[in-house]
Amino acid sequence: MIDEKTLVSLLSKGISLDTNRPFQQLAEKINSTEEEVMEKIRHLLQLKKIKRFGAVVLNRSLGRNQNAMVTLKINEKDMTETGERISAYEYVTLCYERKPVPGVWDFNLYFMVHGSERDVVMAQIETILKELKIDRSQCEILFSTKCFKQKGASY
Amino acid sequence: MDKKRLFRDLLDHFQSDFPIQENPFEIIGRTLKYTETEVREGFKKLLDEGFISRVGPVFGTHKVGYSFLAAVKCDPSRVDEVAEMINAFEEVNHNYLRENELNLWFVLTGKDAEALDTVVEEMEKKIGLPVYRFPMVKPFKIDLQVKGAFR
Repeated sequence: MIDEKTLVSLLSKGISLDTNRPFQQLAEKINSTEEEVMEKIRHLLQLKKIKRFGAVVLNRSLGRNQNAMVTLKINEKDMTETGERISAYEYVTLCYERKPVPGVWDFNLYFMVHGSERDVVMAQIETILKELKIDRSQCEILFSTKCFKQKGASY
Repeated sequence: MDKKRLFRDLLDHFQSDFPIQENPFEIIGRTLKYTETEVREGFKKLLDEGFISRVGPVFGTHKVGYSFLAAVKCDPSRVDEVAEMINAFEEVNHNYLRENELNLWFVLTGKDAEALDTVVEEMEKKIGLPVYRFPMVKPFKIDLQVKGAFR
């Protein structure tokens, strides 16, 4: 039996690119077999515990060095419709409802837009705000000015 | 061999659906018309040159472990120092400076909620500032695959 936590922790660093049999190499590290490791990964994919498996791109390296996080104040009753409408824009990469911190940060709906030029990203955000009739006072746009860290999650 | 074309082919087709098979690089090579070694070395170069962080899984949010977005209000003169202290925690996996009074935004990921509570407590002690937490209530869209890389 493979211990899921051990496998997840090893996998989160990525597979080895020094061997043609990466799953074999992984199996050796945890006293398991290649077949068992692959079965377990396929199972995690099926359960959607693993969302996708492949090359994980670092945005900044591809010139997509502008990223804006937009935070909105949305009434609970409008949340689902607003979240779904924003997600429908192709250039929106992430859209989450999050818990606010009252008095510090009262915004509860977040979305992200990535791009290579600030003007373009800003115009895309303004289109969304206009089309959804969201007032600028209910919104905060936070461009990133520096990336201190971008790595895979370690569990 | 055209390195740029190889990079583009790998990223266009294998940000997901990496074959979970004994010989994944050979399988990819057959699909994209490269040799097994070219494919493996191609991924390795993407990694070494900083275009990708790894070849591996992206975990479903909250399906494995626990994570949340967090932020700190930090005096601009202390930003580099505080960011460094925050990054020293291995639970931190993204950390951005953003244009706001609440200016340092990062994601914390760990085994479970209790483990992260401990991390936040330690972090607050270390940086001398409150850490605000913004856990997810509902995801509407999660799409971090990059379309049209290397055009």
